[in-house]
Amino acid sequence: MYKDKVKAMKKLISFRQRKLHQTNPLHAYAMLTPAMVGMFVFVIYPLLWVMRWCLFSYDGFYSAIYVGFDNFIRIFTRDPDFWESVLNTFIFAFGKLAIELPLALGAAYVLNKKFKGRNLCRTIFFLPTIISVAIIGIVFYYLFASYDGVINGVLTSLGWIDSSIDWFANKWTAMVVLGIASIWQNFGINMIFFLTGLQTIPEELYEAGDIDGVNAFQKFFRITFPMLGPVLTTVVMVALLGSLKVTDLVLVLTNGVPAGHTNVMMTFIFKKFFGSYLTSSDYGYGAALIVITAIILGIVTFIYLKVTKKSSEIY
Amino acid sequence: MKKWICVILALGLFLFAFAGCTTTTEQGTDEEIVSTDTATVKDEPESTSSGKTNGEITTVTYFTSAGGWKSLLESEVENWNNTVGAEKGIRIDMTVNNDTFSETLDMAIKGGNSPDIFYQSSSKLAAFVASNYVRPLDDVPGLESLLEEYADYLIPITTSIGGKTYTLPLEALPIKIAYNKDLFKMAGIVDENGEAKPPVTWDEVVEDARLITEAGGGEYFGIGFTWGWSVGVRRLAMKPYIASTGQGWFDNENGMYDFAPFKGLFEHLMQIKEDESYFPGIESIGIDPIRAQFAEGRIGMMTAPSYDVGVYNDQFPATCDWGVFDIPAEDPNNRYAPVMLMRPNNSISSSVTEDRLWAVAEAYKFLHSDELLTKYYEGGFIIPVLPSIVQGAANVCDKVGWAEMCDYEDYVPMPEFPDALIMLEGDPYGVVFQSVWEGSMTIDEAIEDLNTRYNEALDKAVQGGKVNLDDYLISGDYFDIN
Repeated sequence: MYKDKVKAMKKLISFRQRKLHQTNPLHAYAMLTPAMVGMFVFVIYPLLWVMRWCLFSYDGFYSAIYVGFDNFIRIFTRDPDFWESVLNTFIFAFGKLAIELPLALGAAYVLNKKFKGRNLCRTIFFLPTIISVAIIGIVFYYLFASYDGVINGVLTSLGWIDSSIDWFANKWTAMVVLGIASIWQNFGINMIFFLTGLQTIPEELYEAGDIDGVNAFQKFFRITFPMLGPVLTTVVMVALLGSLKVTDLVLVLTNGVPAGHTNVMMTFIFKKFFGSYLTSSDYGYGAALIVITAIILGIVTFIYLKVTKKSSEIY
Repeated sequence: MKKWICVILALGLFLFAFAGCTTTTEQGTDEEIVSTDTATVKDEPESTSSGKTNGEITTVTYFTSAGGWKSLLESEVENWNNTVGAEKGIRIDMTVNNDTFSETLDMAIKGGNSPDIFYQSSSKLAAFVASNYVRPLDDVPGLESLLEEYADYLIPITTSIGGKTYTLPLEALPIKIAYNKDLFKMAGIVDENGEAKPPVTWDEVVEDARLITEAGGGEYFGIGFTWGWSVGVRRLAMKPYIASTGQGWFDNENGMYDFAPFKGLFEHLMQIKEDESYFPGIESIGIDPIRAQFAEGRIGMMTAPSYDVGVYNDQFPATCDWGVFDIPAEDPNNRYAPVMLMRPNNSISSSVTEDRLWAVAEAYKFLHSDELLTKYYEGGFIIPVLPSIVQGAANVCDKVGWAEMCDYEDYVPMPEFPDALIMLEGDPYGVVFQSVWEGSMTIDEAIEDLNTRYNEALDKAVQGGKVNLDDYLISGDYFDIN
């Protein structure tokens, strides 16, 4: 009796599935079409465009000349400036994240507690996230200006420096300014992500910890931090990829000065691709740089996901 | 039934999503721009050769980079639109972009959205002609008399290529040096009458900069410059230095790049750096902020093409007593002709169709009219190439520095170099010389590196047919003062 019922049920399911497959394809494809066309126009076609032009020398004016893999050979053998920009990108990304993420987590931890003015603090910390990068670039440029700059003024009045620091005259000081501006811009949004994660941690875990007699330090590292694992994994990946792709802030704040030493991958590609008043556009070489950069970012993402797989699965 | 509703809704969604992804502009087709206020030109059979229309307005798009004369140009275009333009049925739709003009224009043209008339950067004219982006003015009906007027002032590569004219010269831009007389007096750099005494040699420039900075006590500085402006080193340092050597970085006599003549210039710059007699922050400061500092009276000397007269009188009115002096030389007794930029004016896009050409030609004539150029001159904004305009102007501009700028008898037009046509590997010279300033390269290393890479790129461009060296060859005595 039971077996008959199961058999009848299976038959019914099989029939419905068959019917679904038989009748649904048309409107399923119709529903998919806008997205598919959009993906082809805005993703697949540009990708194919880039893949094609990376084998050519082309400035947009004269006929393209097929150069085979010479653009790639140039990247690996004749263009140390590109690899300097790659190094700059990683220094910038890891350097700023090493400060930005603990800062965001600390702020989130404090702002998760109940106290007067908590919401005001959250709003203030989040505010830089909604300010245009162009404005941030200009503000930080004038903050760190060599002449009449606010930071130099403060340092001088504190007696820490005798004369103004020319922040943008040296690669490393210019990179520090970039890092500070980027941290100021982004730590608020990461704080909000952490705050959301903190609010999902069950209060019972802390109560159990209290019964076991753990101190605040242990609570943070034995309960809060592990429970934030999945959120942390996502936040770090988004922040890391965002930092590796930084473009606008560098263009506005340093534009590569001094002598192109603060260029990051994307600004370097931008300049090669579109050229400048002193150089012609180089679409072919720019396309090859894009391919290499995409591979670098893909490798970073792959390694990161492999390394963090465990932490996102624990809880 | 339900299935078909789904399909129709999906198709509707698809069409809605892509409703905006269309263009009215395609080069060389009849669907071309034709943005009119009341009707499209293709529906305009009543158009006559004189341009009169039956109340219909043809819009001519114009994209330009205007300096200090932007406000004047905007008001004159508006005035023309409301009077002559309205009568003829033409409206000029002007866009002014100073910061990213070159890049924006490139992208617009390559994307098939070329404006009808656009300001022409001389360095790209050869590329534009090769790509058929510009229309020869000789082929535009109605411009014959204008071309005749400018016949004696056309310059190979800058305005004309292969016997055809693609743009007209607009203005002569002598490059001189603006100086703050107050700071010269403060530093004791005066003549026997107690008046500020400008330098005549580059050694004196370096020395005066040091004296002014020393006397300035951290508030005033000898020299203003900018590495943050992409053409800064070329326009503010290298071009003025040609008066000392009689050679540019492209040897127009032998058809090859040679940066060696600029060794002296960068030795002077490095001395200025060692003396710390420059305005702080020049590594990243933009051209307008450094001009503003000069206008505020904090800088002793700053290279100034003639358009800076408008800047220091109108854009950033100078608060100090300032003047202009001629470009110094290494040896005043062995001086070559200083260069002036010969800025071309506008080109007409090849995408303009025959049925709209009459309107574009009318707009083009207005933009190059003697009346408009006279207003530029009288306003102290530009020095027109045509002497008849300078001589015929009723009012002489009394702006500070204008009279000195208009004295350019010995100056010669800057010859064209193929910089923008070669596909250079590595950094351009502006960035390389910044490395010298920064200290990561010596001057000799920079010159050797640049000569090697630029000549390799030039060879490839010549072999690929992009550069015809004959177009760039000029006589060896071009810079000699007659």
